[in-house]
Amino acid sequence: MIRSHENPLALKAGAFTVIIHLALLAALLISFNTQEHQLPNIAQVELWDSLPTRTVKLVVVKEIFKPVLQEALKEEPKPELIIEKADIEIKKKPVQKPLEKTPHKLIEKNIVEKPAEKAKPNPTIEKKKQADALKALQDDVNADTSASDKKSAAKAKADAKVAADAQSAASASAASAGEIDKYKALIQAKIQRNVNKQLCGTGNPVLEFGIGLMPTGEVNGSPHMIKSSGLPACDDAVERAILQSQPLPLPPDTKLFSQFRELRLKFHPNDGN
Amino acid sequence: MNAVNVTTDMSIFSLITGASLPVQLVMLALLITSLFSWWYIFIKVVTIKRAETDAESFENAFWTGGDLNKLYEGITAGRRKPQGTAAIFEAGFKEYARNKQQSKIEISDVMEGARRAMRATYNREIDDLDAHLPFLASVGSVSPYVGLFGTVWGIMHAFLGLANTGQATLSQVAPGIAEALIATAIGLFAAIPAVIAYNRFASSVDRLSVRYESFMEEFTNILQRKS
Repeated sequence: MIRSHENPLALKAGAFTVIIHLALLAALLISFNTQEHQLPNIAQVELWDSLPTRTVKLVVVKEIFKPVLQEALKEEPKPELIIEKADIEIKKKPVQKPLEKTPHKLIEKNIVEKPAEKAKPNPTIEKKKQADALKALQDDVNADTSASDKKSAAKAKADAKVAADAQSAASASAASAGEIDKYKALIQAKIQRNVNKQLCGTGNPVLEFGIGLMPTGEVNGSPHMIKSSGLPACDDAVERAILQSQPLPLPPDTKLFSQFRELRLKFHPNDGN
Repeated sequence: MNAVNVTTDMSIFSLITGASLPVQLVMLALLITSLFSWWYIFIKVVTIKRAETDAESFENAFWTGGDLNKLYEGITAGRRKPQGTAAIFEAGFKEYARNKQQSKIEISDVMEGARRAMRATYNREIDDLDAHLPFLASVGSVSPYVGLFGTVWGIMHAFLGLANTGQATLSQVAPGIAEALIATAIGLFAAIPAVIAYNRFASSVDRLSVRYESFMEEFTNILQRKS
């Protein structure tokens, strides 16, 4: 392998060779280690740990409180009576006084009626994790409501109920179905936050979008509208919000991803905040 | 999230141990080649350097114009076997002195004999200088291909594994490709120094051989003048 006159050199050269290779290996290891430390910073993963659950909770509480109170106020027959009384009073007395009086009476009536109505929702809120109680409440409300805008409020409540269910299911057990619902709620909440609500008017528009997701949480292609809100500006705002919300939160378990490949999401841009 | 987990798991050792067997064999072969080529590189650096200093010092001693017999005795008396120009001088002068003593031989034949002896020693010296250079040349040209073979095999392996899983994500192929690319990296690490060393040594050997040849011609002239 080597010439005889090279024999005295062989050992020294061999030592140099080993040193060179060890140096390269060390350089390689060091560079690999520095890369490892930097990577998590670039990726920025767990931004979505606790925030979404809080927003969902808020939605639930408001949904249960507001409509019930509003409906209770609206359905009262008594304000009409007050107005009649006021009319009578106007006939009897000078103009200025009844004007002052009637608002007072209205407020008084409201105050009187409020505690009575408030007593009902409170226990239901406490038991909101139980789906039955929520359903009973929803049924009550459905029976009461007749106007079209009230119906949409009920729909919003149903969605809130789904979110609440998802939350309770996720907390009760880490079953995959609960996980899927939880992350669907997370995706919805993240998009909802990015919607420019001013473009959606004062009503309560409902939109439905179909989204193709990639495993990285990015939207595959562009979201396609399934149901329009009737306001083109609002539709555009929601579509922009979907694209802006990338990457969308996905469950860490890749087995569940097949559930997220094609998503149908409903949006209520004016609800929730 | 998955991708990050995978990258944090990646260390150079897990990449090598995780590679498929043919890729590992390629890596091992390349590592051995790299070790050998560096070994030869260090040996050649020292031997060529030594040959250059030897030639330098001998030519200095030769052209200072001392007695050739004294110079010859000084070389043969040394413990070390003469190298390079010294060996050529020794062979040529020995042959010349031996033929000169026999009066029958014509002067042209004496010169011819000395030339032949010097030529033979010159060939032997150049052969020693050229040693291992073919090895370095083949390492330099072949080991990138060997590394590439390992990489192609590893990537094939990675994509075959991808075909078995339902959903194709980058995180499933990336480790396999990274493993495979290690083979190319090792191949290049073996090849680049070998090519550089080969070119350097080849030019050094060329310059030395020119030096030896010109010394032979000049020494022949000196012998001719003496006779």
